[in-house]
Amino acid sequence: MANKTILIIDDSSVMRKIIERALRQVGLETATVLEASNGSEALEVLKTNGTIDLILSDINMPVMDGLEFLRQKTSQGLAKGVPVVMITTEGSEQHVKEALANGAKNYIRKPFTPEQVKERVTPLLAA
Amino acid sequence: MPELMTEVDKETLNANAVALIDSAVSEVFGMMLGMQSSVADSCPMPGPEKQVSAIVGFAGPMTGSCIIQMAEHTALKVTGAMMGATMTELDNSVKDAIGEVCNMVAGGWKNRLPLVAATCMLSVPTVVTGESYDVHHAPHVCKFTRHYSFDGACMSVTILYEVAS
Repeated sequence: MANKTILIIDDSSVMRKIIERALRQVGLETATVLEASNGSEALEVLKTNGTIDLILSDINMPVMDGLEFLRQKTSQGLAKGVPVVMITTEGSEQHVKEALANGAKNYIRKPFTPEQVKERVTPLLAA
Repeated sequence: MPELMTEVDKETLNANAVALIDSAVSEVFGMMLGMQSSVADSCPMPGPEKQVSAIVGFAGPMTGSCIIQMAEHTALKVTGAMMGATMTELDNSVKDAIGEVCNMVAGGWKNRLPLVAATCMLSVPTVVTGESYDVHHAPHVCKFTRHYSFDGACMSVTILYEVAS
């Protein structure tokens, strides 16, 4: 899976690094990783980068949370067809349903292992 | 309008609350730090050394907070394990990491309580550092503290909660 570009959205810079490290451990060593610390920043990244292959987003963030990001991304017609996977501590059925209803393809609950990241991310990048 | 909990619901929550925090802490340490944690009798804070505390609030039908407290050298160790690096000073990365640990512990505990998992929300973490400080709370809330040891270090987790009736 060479030359993939992945956007990681999380208000924690440490968590962004951990997610990036997990991606590199599961076959995405050469991926280009873009970062945003909230949904609003992520929308700006999408407006200026046309070649994103996957978005990994936290839900609970200041400024603009992950669910609002999904709604805004759709309403603004950004990154159409780019799969979004939510990575969140909010692992309740309600939050998952809401994310999936707003266009997310899957979710990963924190804490996670690199293997769990691989299970949920690889099929989306291979598609 | 959130659904109110019955007295039976509350008794079920109270009966499980302590055991479930042990499970949540064990999961976070095992999966994110690669460390085994075990319940300890106490976690004495060193004298003049800085402490690091992180607080995540619960909102909804259950309100309250999850507070984790540890010594500065423990915070460096925990962050180093999370990031695969050696941390030498209490910088923003360390504060960020301890906030995330608190977030995952709070979320793990809350998500293990089916009666509130779907409707209780988490705040973003707040991190406090300093010497000889206390965290105060309303006297009528349910409260318990658990101590955990791991890799020659320890931390304390305090859960404060109150359910709507």
